Amino acid sequence: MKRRIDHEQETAAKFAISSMVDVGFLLLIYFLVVATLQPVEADLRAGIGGPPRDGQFEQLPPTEIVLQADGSVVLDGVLVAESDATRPAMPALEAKLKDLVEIGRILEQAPTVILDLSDDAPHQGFASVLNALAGARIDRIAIRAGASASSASPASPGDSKIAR
Amino acid sequence: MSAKLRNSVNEDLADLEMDMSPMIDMVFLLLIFFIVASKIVTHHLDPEVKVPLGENAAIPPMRGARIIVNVYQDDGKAPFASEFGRGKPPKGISFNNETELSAYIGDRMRWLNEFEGAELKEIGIVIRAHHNADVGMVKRAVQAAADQGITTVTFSAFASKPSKY
Repeated sequence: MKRRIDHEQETAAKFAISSMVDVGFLLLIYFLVVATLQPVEADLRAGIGGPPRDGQFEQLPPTEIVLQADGSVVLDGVLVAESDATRPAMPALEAKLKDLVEIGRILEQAPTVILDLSDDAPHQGFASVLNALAGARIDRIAIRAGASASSASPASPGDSKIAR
Repeated sequence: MSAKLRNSVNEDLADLEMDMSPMIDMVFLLLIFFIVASKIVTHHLDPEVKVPLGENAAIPPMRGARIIVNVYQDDGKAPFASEFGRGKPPKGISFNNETELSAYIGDRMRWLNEFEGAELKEIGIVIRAHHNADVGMVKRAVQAAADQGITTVTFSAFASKPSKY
């Protein structure tokens, strides 16, 4: 009699997986949350083109941004970011670039920006300028060839044009 | 409805069980299909290079054929290095000047063209420059890429500050 009862109990045994599923989902949620805490590297894109074409800047002349060795940024001769401008955001520069985009929209012409970068400036300063350009959605950029950051001469055919 | 009929229906419903096994089979089949069909591209990033911050940086939906170049801050070592390989620990090829870097970029472009089927004009370069690296070095890396006819340059940046920065 006892043996028969044991046998019935054995056949009725079931494996409860609900606890395992609970733990599984908890682990899944944990790893999802942890994975999103660490940001991945993103892109500040640029594309190199040729020198400016003749007559391209008839209506809207190119704007020049100078990144100086101490990290300060000058836009068309006006200081827009101080020398401690290694911070990622440059709101004053971005606001002025957005104004430039508005003017370009009125003239139905995309603005062009020439970057004059000091070789001794930290890369964070350059990335901050690119960041401001990306925020203003300016996609026609040229990097002035050479080492000087103080010259403010207009674009020459030797400049390498970058369209971001 | 009579009580007898209601009891009968309740008993039938109590016995109902959904057979999950075909659905699980199908899910596993789909999982295996996507694992086989997808192509995993892994880039080993040099942890020494802490890229700058740029909140407007974005992750594009498609990255395409890219050549990764590391640019270091001035510490007396080689200023440039290639993408890290799969060794343990992962290592890249160091370049002392832009001429060596440009030659590597050219070789890599030909390899991507020949073995990955990438169009030469579609190949871009990703510059992972340390946030304290001199802009002069970054410009030299851009020039090395331009010398090989690369038209798309991407600068790596963190859109938000990582915990260890």
